[in-house]
Amino acid sequence: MKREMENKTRKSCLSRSQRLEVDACTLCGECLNVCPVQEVTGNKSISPPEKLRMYREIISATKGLKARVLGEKPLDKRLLEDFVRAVYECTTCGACTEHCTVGIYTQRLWPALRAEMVRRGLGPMGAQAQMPQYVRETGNIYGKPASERFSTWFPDDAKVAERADVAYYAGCTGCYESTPMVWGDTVVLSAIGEPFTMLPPEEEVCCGFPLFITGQFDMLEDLVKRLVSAYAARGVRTLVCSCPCCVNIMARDWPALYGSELPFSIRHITQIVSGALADGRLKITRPLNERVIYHDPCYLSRGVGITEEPRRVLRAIPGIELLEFDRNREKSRCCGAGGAARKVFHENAIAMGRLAIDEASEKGAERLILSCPACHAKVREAASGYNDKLKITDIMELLGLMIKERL
Amino acid sequence: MSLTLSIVLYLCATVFYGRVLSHMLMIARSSAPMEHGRNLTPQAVAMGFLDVLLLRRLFNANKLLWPFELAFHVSFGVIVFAHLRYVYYYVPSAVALAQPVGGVASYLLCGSLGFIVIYRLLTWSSKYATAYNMFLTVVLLIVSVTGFLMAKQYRIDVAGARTFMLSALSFKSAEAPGGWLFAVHFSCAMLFIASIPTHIFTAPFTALEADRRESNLTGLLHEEGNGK
Repeated sequence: MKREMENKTRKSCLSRSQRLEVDACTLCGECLNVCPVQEVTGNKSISPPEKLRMYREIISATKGLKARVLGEKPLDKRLLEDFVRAVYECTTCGACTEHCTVGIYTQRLWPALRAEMVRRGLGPMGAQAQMPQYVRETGNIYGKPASERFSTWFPDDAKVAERADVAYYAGCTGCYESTPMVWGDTVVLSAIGEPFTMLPPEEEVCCGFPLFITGQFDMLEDLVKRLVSAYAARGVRTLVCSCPCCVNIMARDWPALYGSELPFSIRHITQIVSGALADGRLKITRPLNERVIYHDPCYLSRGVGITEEPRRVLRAIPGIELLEFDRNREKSRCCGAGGAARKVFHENAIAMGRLAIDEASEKGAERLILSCPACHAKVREAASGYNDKLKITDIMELLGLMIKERL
Repeated sequence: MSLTLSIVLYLCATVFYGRVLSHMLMIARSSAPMEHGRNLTPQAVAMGFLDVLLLRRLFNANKLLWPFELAFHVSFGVIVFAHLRYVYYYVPSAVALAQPVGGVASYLLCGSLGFIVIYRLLTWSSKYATAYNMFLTVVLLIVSVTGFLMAKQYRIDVAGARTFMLSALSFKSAEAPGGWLFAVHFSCAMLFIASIPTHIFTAPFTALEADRRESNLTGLLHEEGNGK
């Protein structure tokens, strides 16, 4: 990852294995069967194999055999525009990887291709371009005051230690767009009874994921070093987070950006909570007699392999009947909120969210459980005025409400 | 005719080697070094075997197409191996032993390619398809059918074909076997070599890397290894 960053000044943002992946695509098209963007647009010109075919054309025109022999020609403007749109319209859910006949790791390849476009001055798109400035000025990707990061949702009775083995990282999207999730996180962590620490709002800056996913790698190293040093100074041995995207970049990329192994482990909050439920540190005694359906976030299931812990948490609630989507766990269908595309390609995201809502209702679920702040924000937006019967709740929000006896 | 076929061979070989060299340079100039199998688990090795030799991922994605694609890849590999008798002065015993197997494989190759072409044509509008892939499949079908006809029906002068190939490869002139069947077979084979899809060389590495990655996925957040 750090090498990917350094290569902003080099010739390519793709690693060797990614360059091999570009060549490895057989253009078979099997991935279109599971692509959520295809499902709502039917537009093959933005499909996974078409993205790779267009990129090959770009490479061929600039660095291929013909270009070397006959000289490089100016790239077709239309081709570039089509490619940039195709690459950024993707939610980077990675479903195509699960269905790929050669195993191309698209969840990492698409951001690298986006970085290539940023390097050429062709990306990112729309509001994504403002993210670095917002992070620089306010520490978050929304440009909202750092002072408001925790103030609108932090429970009055939750206590944060100055130093502790466990630290909680709330994340930008949770704090500013999906506050029920982060509220639930802190209620549950407090209920477990183990002391935990948090950075002050001005110090808890963006984890870097939105910048990474949009191909804007410049600030990543600085952000990571600030955060890791701050947590290390507080004696942290385990960093807990509930945003799958944050967990993803922390587990996969922070070590390379930091320059060495992290001084702490990364854990998703459902791992902590399922452990606490198993050993009795946390007890849920109030029943919830509902049929609930759990949606696996793409960056949690396919990204870091967390699929069973959220289910153990839900099954620990007495009275719950846990339903499953047809495509679940590593094969889950994207709800449309990912890839930093939900605001730039708003209609796509709403359409994908409504497909998840429709399936949940068809299965007879009374409540849709989510485990990602972006999913939570966008699916609730998709449901508004469309399906007001289905309750949409974050998993930690649900536990928090039960602990506080508000459900 | 012989001169024309020789020129076709040299041109297509030049394009082939040029493309390979060009791709190797691009890959070598990419940013990070290839991640060699750290944490290469036995599970990853086993899955890699299934992926590369039995097209496991295709089986999971499309169970209808899988047997025909497997038959195509296996029979194509056998026939290419059997064709090595045309490029060796002293034919290795393994290549000699492969000749009868190649005869059987020719039926499989024609049949599987025929199905694949029909499948692609019937699903052209509903599935993703490219003219490039269709072109390659049709060229291969022509190569396989003409090869089948030469082997089973219109037997050509095999010794003459061998002499022609060995001479052409050592930049000497020799008479090519007569007849349009050989000319079409040879030209289309050379055209395929010049247009060879890159996935033949890179897909096995990508599949093995995918297996390594998947076998390590549960360990990402479930072991002490990603932090102290």
